Amino acid sequence: MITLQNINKLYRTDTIETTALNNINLQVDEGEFLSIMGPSGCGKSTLLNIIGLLDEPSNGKIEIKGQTVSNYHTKETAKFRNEHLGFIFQSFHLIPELSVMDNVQLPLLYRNLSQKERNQMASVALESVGLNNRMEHFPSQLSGGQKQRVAIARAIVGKPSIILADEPTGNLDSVMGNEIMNILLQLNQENKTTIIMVTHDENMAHKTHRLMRLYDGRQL
Amino acid sequence: MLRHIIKLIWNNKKNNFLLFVEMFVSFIILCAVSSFMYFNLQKISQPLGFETTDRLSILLDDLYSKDSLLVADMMTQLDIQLKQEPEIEEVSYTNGPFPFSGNQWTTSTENNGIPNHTLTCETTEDYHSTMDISLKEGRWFRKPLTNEDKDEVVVNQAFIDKNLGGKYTLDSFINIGEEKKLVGIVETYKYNGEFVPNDPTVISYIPKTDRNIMNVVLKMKPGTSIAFQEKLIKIITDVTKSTSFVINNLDDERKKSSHDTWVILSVLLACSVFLFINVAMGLFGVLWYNINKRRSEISLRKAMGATNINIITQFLTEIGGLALLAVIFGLIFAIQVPLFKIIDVDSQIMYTGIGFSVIFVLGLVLVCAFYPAWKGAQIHPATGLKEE
Ligand SMILES: Nc1ncnc2c1ncn2[C@@H]1O[C@H](COP(=O)(O)OP(=O)(O)O)[C@@H](O)[C@H]1O
Ligand SMILES: [Mg+2]
Repeated sequence: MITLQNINKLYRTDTIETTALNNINLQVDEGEFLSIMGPSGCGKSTLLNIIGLLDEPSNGKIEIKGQTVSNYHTKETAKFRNEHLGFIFQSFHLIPELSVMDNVQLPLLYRNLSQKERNQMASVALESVGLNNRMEHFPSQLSGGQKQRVAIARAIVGKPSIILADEPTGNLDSVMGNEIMNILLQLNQENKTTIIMVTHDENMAHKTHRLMRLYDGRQL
Repeated sequence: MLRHIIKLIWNNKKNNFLLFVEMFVSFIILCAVSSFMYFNLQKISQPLGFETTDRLSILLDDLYSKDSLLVADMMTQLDIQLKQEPEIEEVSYTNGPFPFSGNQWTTSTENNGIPNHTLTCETTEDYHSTMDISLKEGRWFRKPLTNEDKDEVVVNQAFIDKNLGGKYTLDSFINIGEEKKLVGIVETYKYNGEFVPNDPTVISYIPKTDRNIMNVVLKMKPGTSIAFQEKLIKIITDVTKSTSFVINNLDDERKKSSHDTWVILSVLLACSVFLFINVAMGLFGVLWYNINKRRSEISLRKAMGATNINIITQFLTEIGGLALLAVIFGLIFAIQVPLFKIIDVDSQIMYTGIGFSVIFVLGLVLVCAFYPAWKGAQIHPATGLKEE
């Protein structure tokens, strides 16, 4: 499903050069739930961004669903992200001016769909995270856990085959965190969605199929 | 997508309100300024209708208080003397409303209850040749041979259009208080200067011996030196036994007559350019700030599959939509002025000014928005999502 070969990522500024990722090789199978752990600054987000085509590796090769996406142009990556990838972030990244319903529809705006189709798909997604009674609310009217559920609905609304979650429970208390974790587990089991999740929580990591540890840009 | 953008504008109304007001006010000011400029430009685009180079004018303003026989004698003398001078090519005479006098004599006639205002001037029969007035149609009037002869008149095109409704026949009689015979048409005769509107005007005959003569116009040989004026002064003083006359160069008078309007127009233009540079920089700054504040939104949209073009289109539609709203709101006010003839200016001019303002404001906003939007679209999705 996902293959990374010899991925390196260097950040250069005028004064220093940081090696964020050092020769990463990774294979993730279809339907697999992989968690990534490691101390702060070890390169977890960088790795996830590279898999999500939000960032380019300095060198190395990425294959997703049999396609060498590391050679893609920006327009192709945009289309690929839109169709195959869903993102969940630690700080939710909801647009405050938009209602829950409109936030969830965001990925669908970049597809050729009618308003009716978008409403329908968004309703289904919101229902699966248990928020169909909050559709007209605005993000500021929701709790942290609810916000993250909106973000999950947004990630799954386009039916992507891969979900990338960067510390999705990092801003939540343990009750809400577990709620989110259960939704992700259910997604993985029922829809066979491939999930890669960065976490700081050992318990959550142990509920996934496989754990990868990073330290200072290297795999342990 | 449009609905999505309308929601974004509406739900962000607090931030958008100031921008809206700025665009609304700019639009209204521009409507006024551009209509005023266009109004004046249209006026100067119409020629004066006569020549001013190498023309001198002599103002004699006390003839009417003298005995008419005396005046007749004096003017005959003056005419003979002036025509003897080799530097003077032609001489003719007018009554009060002479070139750049600022005087306006009007008559009003009613046409089916609608008042027609007409400017009237009287000149001698050779005035058109002294002033190089070219006729569009017909000929200049002649000196009447008998007292019973109806006066012949020359009118301008504005008279034909506004007072005769465009319908006329040369050598037919028209009524301007009295019956006059229409013998010729000039395009314009803006004797009070470039910026004076080309109002309906009738020019008719006055004998050079009349007490109502106020002005002598001279066509000089090209290159006549200013020293000749001394001789001229002597001639006039000798004949009129008076020194209460003024000699003017018509080129100078012409410049003087438009000087103030040029100053007003230049100041207005400078102010508007300054205003719009400020508006443009303000808009640019606000948009730059807004788009920068939305870096994480841009990154998020890109993560969700938006292309650079999607991002640019979104911002341009947002700001363009807001500008369109401000302009429509402004139009509701602006359009009242020509619609209900609140100001006595040709409504065509105001519609043109308003139309220009619509295009200018929308264009300016889009131009100012383009760079910030384009720059925003270049934001790397990974960096924008990290901030917060
Ligand atoms: N845009 C950047 N420019 C320079 N250095 C960066 C940038 N992004 C991340 N880094 C560095 O790369 C390393 C890995 O960062 P990151 O992947 O965010 O770590 P984390 O494991 O905490 O998610 C860190 O040392 C960080 O300082
Ligand atoms: Mg991180």
